[in-house]
Amino acid sequence: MRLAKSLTTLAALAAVFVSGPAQAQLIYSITKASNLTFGTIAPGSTNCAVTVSPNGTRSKTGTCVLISSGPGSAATFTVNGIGLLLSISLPSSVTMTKAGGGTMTVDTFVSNPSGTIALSLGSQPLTVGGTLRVAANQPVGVYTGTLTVTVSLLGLL
Amino acid sequence: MREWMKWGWPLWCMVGLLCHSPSFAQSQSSADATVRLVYAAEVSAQQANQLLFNPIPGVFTISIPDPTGYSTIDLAATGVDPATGALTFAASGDNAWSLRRLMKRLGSGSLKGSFSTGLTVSGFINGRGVQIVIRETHEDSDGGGSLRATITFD
Repeated sequence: MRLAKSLTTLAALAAVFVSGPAQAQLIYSITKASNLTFGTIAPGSTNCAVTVSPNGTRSKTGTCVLISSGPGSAATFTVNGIGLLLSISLPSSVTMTKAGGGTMTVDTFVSNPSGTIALSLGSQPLTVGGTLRVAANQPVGVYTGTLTVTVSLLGLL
Repeated sequence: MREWMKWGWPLWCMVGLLCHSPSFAQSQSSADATVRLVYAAEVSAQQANQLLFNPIPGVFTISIPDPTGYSTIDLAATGVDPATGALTFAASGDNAWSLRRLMKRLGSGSLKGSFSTGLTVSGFINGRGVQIVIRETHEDSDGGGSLRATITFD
């Protein structure tokens, strides 16, 4: 029984890897479909936190104003693979900067699904949200940063 | 990574699947994170309500005296914070265009001054006399922008 399971695992591995003369290539990938945006916000007189959930809902705590004409949206990715158990790693924080100076921090990244993805066949959409920390009287302007999502192989299904 | 996967690669090599150290390369993808911060105009809740219930809610036509009479500039306000009464203007291309036009007129027309020095602009909003004290303006490189102003009605 154990031998059969091992052979099955090895056969599955053969399907997962494409062997070349110099390098093997894992057949799974993650690609970005859209960016994370917190939309348009007017800072308040006190610190504020603006959260965009993985489903794109924007909310705030604090005195800043969320401008309705500039809504937020979650980042979206597509994970591809066959018969794999993959782990999802999100950054702990990202610094956003604007031209001419000024920084803000995005943290508490959340994805859907989170933790692991069991990919039996095909692709799986992945959405990522986070929380933007807006300081009191934060200088206005456009802030940008980069968040990187990492997918790692945990095992086979 | 699971230990059995990390240390089991010699077995895979033996069966010809991988004849080198397995990389178990991670797959990564990056997305941009963006936000636009804009000024909120400073008006009282009462003033904001008056503005928002105008015949064209949320659109402010500012009339500015010039040598030929008055010219008008529209700014679109998108909402008001009920807690602070702060009126918010959209960082739209139209608003940015209006801001640039206003700034140009302030610099070259009958009105003199700079937004950054707390200039008071007298004019009309939807037929009502107002004074607008421009506190700050900001224009982004992509054409968006915002202003902070105090609006007082006659």
